[in-house]
Amino acid sequence: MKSWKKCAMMAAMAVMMASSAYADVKVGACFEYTGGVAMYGNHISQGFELAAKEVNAKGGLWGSEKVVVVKADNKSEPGESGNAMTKLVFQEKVVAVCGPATTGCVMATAPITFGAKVPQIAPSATGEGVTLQKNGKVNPYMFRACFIDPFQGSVMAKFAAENKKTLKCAVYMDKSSDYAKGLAANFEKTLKELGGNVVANEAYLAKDVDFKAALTRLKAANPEAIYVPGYYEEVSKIIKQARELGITVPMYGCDGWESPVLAEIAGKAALKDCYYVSAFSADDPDPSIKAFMKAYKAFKGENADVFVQQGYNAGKVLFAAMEKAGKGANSQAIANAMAATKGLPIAGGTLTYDAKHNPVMPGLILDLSSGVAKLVAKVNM
Amino acid sequence: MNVVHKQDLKIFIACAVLYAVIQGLICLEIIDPFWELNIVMICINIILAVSLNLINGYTGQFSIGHAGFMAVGAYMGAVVTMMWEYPFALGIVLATVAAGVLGALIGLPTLRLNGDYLCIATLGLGEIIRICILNIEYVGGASGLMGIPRETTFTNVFWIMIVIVFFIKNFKNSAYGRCCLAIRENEIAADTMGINTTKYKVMAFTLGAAFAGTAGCMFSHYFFIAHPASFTFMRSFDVLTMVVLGGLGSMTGSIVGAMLLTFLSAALSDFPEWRMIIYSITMIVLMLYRPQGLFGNEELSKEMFGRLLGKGK
Repeated sequence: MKSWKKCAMMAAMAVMMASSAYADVKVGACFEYTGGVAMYGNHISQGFELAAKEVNAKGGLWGSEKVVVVKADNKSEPGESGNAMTKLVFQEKVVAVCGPATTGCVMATAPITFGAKVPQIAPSATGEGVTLQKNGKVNPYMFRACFIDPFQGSVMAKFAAENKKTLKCAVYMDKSSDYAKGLAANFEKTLKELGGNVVANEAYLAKDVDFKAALTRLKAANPEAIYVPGYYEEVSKIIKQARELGITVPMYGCDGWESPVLAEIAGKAALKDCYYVSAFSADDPDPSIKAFMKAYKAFKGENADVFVQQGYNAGKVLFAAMEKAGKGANSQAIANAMAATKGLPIAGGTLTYDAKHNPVMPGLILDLSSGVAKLVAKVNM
Repeated sequence: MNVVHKQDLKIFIACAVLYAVIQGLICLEIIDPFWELNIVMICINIILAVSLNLINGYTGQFSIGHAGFMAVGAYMGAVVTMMWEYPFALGIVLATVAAGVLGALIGLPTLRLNGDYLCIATLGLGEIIRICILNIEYVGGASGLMGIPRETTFTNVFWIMIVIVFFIKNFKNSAYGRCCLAIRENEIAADTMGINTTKYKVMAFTLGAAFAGTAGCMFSHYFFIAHPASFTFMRSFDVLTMVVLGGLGSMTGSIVGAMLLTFLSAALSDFPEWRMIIYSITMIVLMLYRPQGLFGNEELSKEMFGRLLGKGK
């Protein structure tokens, strides 16, 4: 009996000593590790872990404390996200959290971090309302590391007006998606501000296959370029049919175009003068991207994609803010430091937060002319 | 006071004591918010499992569309409290009624089917409900309904659960319930005996759907959000697993199944990669050694303990 007690006491002491010797700082990672969008969740999380690893390799935060990433799985489901976030915030007592990936899951966790005053950074949630409270004010504890959907529309309009000098554009959008509608509205707004004009408007629905009627009408309006916000499935057919009808003007798009399937269906010849906006390009000559790609290759043995980059950048923003807020800073100080992020070097450029906690960072314009996406321009808004 | 009522009273007092203990632990912050959340989740899952058991276990109609009715309740409740700004209590009532009415409407045509056909029809209906919600802009469409106030507390979810469990227990022991059991045992024989099988099948289906609606309302008011992704057929299967694990036709089985699986899911949340494997192995082992579920179609009782102990000797 006595030796039992001794053992238990020694174990308890060992635990206590271990915890005091390594005064680690815990950050949470609440992601879609399993379920429908597990691929996104895992990649973003790996990017975030890479950022944490780099901080630790340099001796940790404030020169002494190691960052420990505590993971929690939300099963790709909003209800479970609340569950996972509660665990991180109240049981693990993390100082800040990264995640989840999708807007719905982020919205389900926002009231929890808001109530507990824990800063949260959502790497890839593009929904406009994510960083806002119900009353429309900014949520002081919520940030993101990707640009919001409408921002892409503005980027494309600026590229159209300034780089391509196409001021007379037509818009052909996916009417069944809020994403495309938001893009179209912002494209038109920015284009008008830059002296351009939208000469024709047409719409299609997801799963449509024949676009020739609308395309003929667009051709009649004689635009200098056509903006097609939507997803690759329909867009690939639209591009193909447009070229078949003899429409040779440039076609502009959004990150919904990003898929190898697009080139397969449309065919290389049809993709001449087709451009879309993205946040990431693997052949970006920017040294920060080169270094990031190399670090990720060494970390996981595969090439990084846009999700890894978003997770990595989220980590960069968070750890920089924690470093700046100082050792033992409370959550309020960390959140303030995050909101004050200005010109922070991230993979692919610099990041500054606007008043609504949305990052202002360069948008990349990719050219599909050769059948594979090639970076042609970086547009700073 | 007859024997049955005395026993009910005893169970009721036991529930009150259980409530007092858990509520006390929550107030003293011995149970942290994570476990409080999981206790609420257990209560919601018990409502779902017990109501599905009424359809699958007692009446023998194999339904796997429970998530659909839960979704209706979740959205209905959220619309009432958030958009129309009525109190939560009315939200619960309307959520229950809406899911029940839909259950009756759907039950009338589909319950003519049986076996695999009914199974597939209910699966399809669950998905149809979800896809409909996905396309209704008024309730947020694909992005879900956000900003729902957290009205569900341990107190209200616990007592609503108790009321529903007692309701279904009494239903089972009533003349209606016996008709349902007769249909489960042999539909043709029941029909021959003069039981209006369609009526009782629809009745059980409607009640089950209505309570799923209640659970949905409690769910959306605890997690701040009603999102179509929460009500996929995986949710229906989760509930079905709880019922089958506990034993089809056993109410205490459903309760234990719901508690066990919710607890398992929470306890394994640190090992996302392993959770599904452990979960599946549990199922396979159970089906190999106890295909009728933990309790078969019996209820957990003193006699059962007695038998188990007797076997042990």
